[in-house]
Amino acid sequence: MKRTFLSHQRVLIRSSTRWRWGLLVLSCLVVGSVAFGRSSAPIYEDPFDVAGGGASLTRASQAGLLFSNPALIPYGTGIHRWLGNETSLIVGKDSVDFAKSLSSSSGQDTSASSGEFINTVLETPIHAGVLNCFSYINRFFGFGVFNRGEFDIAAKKYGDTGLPALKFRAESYQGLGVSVASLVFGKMLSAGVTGKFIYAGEPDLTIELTDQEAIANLQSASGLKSLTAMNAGYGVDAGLVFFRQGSRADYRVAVKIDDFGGTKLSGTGDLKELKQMYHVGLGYTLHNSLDSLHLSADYRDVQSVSGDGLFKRVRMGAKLLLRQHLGVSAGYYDGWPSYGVELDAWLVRLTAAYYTREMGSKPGLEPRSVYLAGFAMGF
Amino acid sequence: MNVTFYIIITLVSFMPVLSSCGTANFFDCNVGYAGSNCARLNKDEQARVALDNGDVAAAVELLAELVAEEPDVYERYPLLAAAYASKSGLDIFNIVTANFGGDSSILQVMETFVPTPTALGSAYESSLRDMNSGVQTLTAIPPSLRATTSSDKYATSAVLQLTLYQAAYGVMLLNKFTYSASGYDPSLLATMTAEDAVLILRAFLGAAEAAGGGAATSVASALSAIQSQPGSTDQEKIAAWSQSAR
Repeated sequence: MKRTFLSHQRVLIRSSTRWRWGLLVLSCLVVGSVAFGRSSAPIYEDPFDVAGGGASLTRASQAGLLFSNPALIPYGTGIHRWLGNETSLIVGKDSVDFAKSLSSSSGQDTSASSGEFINTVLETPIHAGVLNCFSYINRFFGFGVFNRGEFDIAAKKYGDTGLPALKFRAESYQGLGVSVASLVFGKMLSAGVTGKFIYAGEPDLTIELTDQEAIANLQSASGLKSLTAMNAGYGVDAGLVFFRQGSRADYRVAVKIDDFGGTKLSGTGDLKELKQMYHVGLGYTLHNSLDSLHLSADYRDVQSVSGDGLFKRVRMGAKLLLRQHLGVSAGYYDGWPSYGVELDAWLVRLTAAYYTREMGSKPGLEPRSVYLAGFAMGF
Repeated sequence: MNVTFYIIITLVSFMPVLSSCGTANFFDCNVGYAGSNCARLNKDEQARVALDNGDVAAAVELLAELVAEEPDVYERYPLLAAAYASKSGLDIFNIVTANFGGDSSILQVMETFVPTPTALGSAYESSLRDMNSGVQTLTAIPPSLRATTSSDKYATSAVLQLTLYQAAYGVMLLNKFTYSASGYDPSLLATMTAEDAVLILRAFLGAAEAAGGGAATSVASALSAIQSQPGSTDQEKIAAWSQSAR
């Protein structure tokens, strides 16, 4: 009789008392205080993981391992995992489409449509960013120096009070993460810890175009300083992965704690603390010696301390890796479909992804469709 | 497991995402997948989305319902007024960025973007009603809560919008007698009644009294200019001013 996935899981749990201990540890980890926090998303994500819906607790790529779940580090072949640098550019689809429309309309008489042009500018949010991470990872530990900057500028014809307004939001994270991980009970359990230094800022500003005082304030030194203020602090993430390997199918259950005990940030910015959050993930991998299909689902911020809606906290996706050099992924990121491809040509790794990030508190309020192109060099 | 099995599993895995073609959110109650724990937009959020998408008629409907349900929540009034103004054909961006402080009269400034019977034809009366609804929405806020000195953002917005919309409403009323379906036609001024003139003056007076920035000053200047025009009746003075101010 063929086993279903669930029956296989039941057998899996019954098969070993070690799993019971593992589940007990997992249960203990998810008991804790609820607190207010930032977004439930990781501070750094690998482009291919983003394309796969961002469900990276049970499988992550390269530097994404360090920040998605350090307990994943020991899984793989050989001792050396990765040494290299990855740079990714993020460009909003709206901006690209607008640029295309400008280039296609060049040469035409634009005087008649200047009003339309202004309206288009007002209705076109600008979303862009850059990700960069230099990292080294082996079977036992890894470190990564990362930089993630993303901003979103949206002019609203009708602001909150009905008058035109400009909304500026940004996320700027720089820092260093050092991870160590070890296998326990053979390969069935892995525990990992990431110590990190974070230099972060999340300016969020809305200005009505009629508010002369606010505009003047923004042009002053103190106003600009409030936009660029950054805070710094040290924190710790910890993760566990329960791994059941089969000849053709693997199962993974992951639990991760971000910012254990809360990461206090000091400085002049508004972001004073990264609150402790718990995440759990499930992974199922079908594989042979060269190809694999990884299905995963993450439930992030179990206690909902970030205030993010369920659509941002549930991530799921599929990654198909062929011959260990070509990858295709798809999933749901912030509830929106995401897609991506990856080509790993030994020293060079190219990634292209398309996903949608929801800037609002519910799906459809402020979606930003985004193109992401990643270029990595390393081995 | 053979290759076919892998292909089937892969297709099944990717199918939910590929089938939605990048347009549907998994948690959207209206277009997402049934059974998911969806996040339904409340009426405020639906109105916001409608405004962002340029569907001002839907925004007006939703906001008007909300105002009727919770009349004491005055934060919504300026947004509803803006939606009414937009529905009337007024481009809110044009009006808030207009230069009312220069040498041009309020007529010259507003003529460039206030709707006219020439542009709207038979829809002009409906446009006028919408603009009037915008004005009425703002005047429904208690005067004590409409203040430029208030720390509430909606209060200062209400004052500014009230000035602009009353001025625009006055100009639109006047346009009924200066524009025909075929273009500028000052001969229509002769058809203006005393009641029409009172409505125009009342709109301008309301704009000046609302004291919302440069537009209020410009409207006050216009009222003084109307007063100084030759003629024995309000309509004669307004007719004379409308031609001299252009």
